[in-house]
Amino acid sequence: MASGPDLSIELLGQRLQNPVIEAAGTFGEEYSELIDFRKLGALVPKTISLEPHCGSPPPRLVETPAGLLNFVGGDNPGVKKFIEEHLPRWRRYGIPIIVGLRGHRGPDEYVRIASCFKRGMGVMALELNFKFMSDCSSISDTVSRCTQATDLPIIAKLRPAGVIMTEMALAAESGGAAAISLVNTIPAMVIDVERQVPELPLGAGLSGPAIRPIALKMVWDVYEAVKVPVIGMGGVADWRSALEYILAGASAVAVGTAMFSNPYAAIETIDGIRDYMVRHGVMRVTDLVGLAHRNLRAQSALKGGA
Amino acid sequence: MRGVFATILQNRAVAEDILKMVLRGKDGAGLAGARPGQFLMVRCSDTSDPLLRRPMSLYDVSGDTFSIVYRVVGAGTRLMAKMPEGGEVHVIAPLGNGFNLPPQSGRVALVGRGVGAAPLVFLAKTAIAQGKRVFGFISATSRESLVGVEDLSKMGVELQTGVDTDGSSTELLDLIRERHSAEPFDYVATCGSRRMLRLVQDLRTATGVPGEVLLETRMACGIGVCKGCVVMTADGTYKKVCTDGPVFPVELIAG
Repeated sequence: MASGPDLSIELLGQRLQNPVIEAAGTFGEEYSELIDFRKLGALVPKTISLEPHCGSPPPRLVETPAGLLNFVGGDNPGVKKFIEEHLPRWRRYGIPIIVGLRGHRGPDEYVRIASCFKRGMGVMALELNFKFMSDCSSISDTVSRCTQATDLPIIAKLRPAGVIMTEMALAAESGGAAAISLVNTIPAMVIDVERQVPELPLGAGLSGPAIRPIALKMVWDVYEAVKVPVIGMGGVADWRSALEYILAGASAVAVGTAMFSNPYAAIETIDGIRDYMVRHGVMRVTDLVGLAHRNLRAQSALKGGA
Repeated sequence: MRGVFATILQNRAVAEDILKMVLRGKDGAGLAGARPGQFLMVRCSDTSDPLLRRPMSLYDVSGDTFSIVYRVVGAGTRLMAKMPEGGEVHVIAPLGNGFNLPPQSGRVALVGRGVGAAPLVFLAKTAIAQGKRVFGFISATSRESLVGVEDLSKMGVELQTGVDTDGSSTELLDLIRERHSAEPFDYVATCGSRRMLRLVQDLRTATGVPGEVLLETRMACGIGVCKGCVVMTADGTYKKVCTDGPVFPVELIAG
């Protein structure tokens, strides 16, 4: 293999040098002192809202078994400051940027933020963070209105919350989403048994390896249901977990919570995928996307079950 | 800041459930330039559980070694207590801001409780090296858990200690007030007790003496990204303990 395995992908019309993205809310310029950003597939800054938000009162975090429960509460500088001050700094790395946005006050806010972005600003796509929106018609409607508010492709980022994930994904796709990313944090809870109350507000969400098998199954199901690319995340911590998602159908994966304890997680994941491809004689990482589905079907066919 | 693999030179109990760990960076660089008040994020597990690193204030930095003093309170610190001497641990360091000893200050008071006294030991060493007169007021729930008192004495800190099980430290706090009345301190640093913080705030309000508090809180990333470690400050904004702190002027923090 003279030139080595090809980890590059084409996502939403943009070439990424590899399928590893770092996840919204878990990444910041501070990591540039520890790792080389120019090795990443894409960058996702902290999700922004229309106005600045100071976030929730502390405590905002609780560690759980192999997980992290958080209610940071949307602490962000707001779209104006982001575009004026933060975006230029992110662009310096020369790596594709996906901007995550969330309308705290509802669908109109998503549309207003989306209308602030267009091609030529150095952003490859907008990711609508549907953290507190889970009804299908709102999702579909919001995606549709956002596609009209900007010429950038729209990614719908979904959160498991009551409604079946595939239904939300189909709704987002029918609204015009160019890709689906999942999962956002899973609604969860820790109770302080001495004070006899929940430790964090009821909207808190769980991330980290604890949610991986749950999120992975959701990615599997959504890949079967939609035609647009799927971006998988939820406890991606290393090359093995990244490949689980890719084999399940993710065109790209995001590393998030893992970075807190291992800032090198995304870089190690990229290197690990490359080594895996060499070991398995895989030329292009795109050949692995959804491969587990095809293998499973082949297995059933052999058993005469097809 | 950087990520450092460090060799564990020592990891020994100094009191019940309190250990001192001495480390040397494998790359030989140590933590030169680290300031009192700064901290490390220690990776205590190779697995995903416990998931997060643990923040630890620097107890001392000396040549190419650095040390922390920690109490075993949960899963992460239990694992740290089992790390063998000669073994390896990964830390991200040095993090946070540090104490700001005013250059003109001649009389410095350090007021701490339990493991909260640990970062004050590093501060004491720096203050003594700057030729300041340093007074230490350290309390704990038992004689044995008076952290750092031997090291403080050895370096020439004029020390008063107090033992109480309910956190009141009443006699010690009264003593600090008396001493400050008799001959004022120029700067006070505190860590480890809300009551001590309130005293230092009172002294500042009454006499204008500048004071700083080192806060400890839950952290995930430790470097300013996750925004999980914020504290509400008196100006109505949230500040990150990991990057805006962990040291804050006492008047910024609710007592």
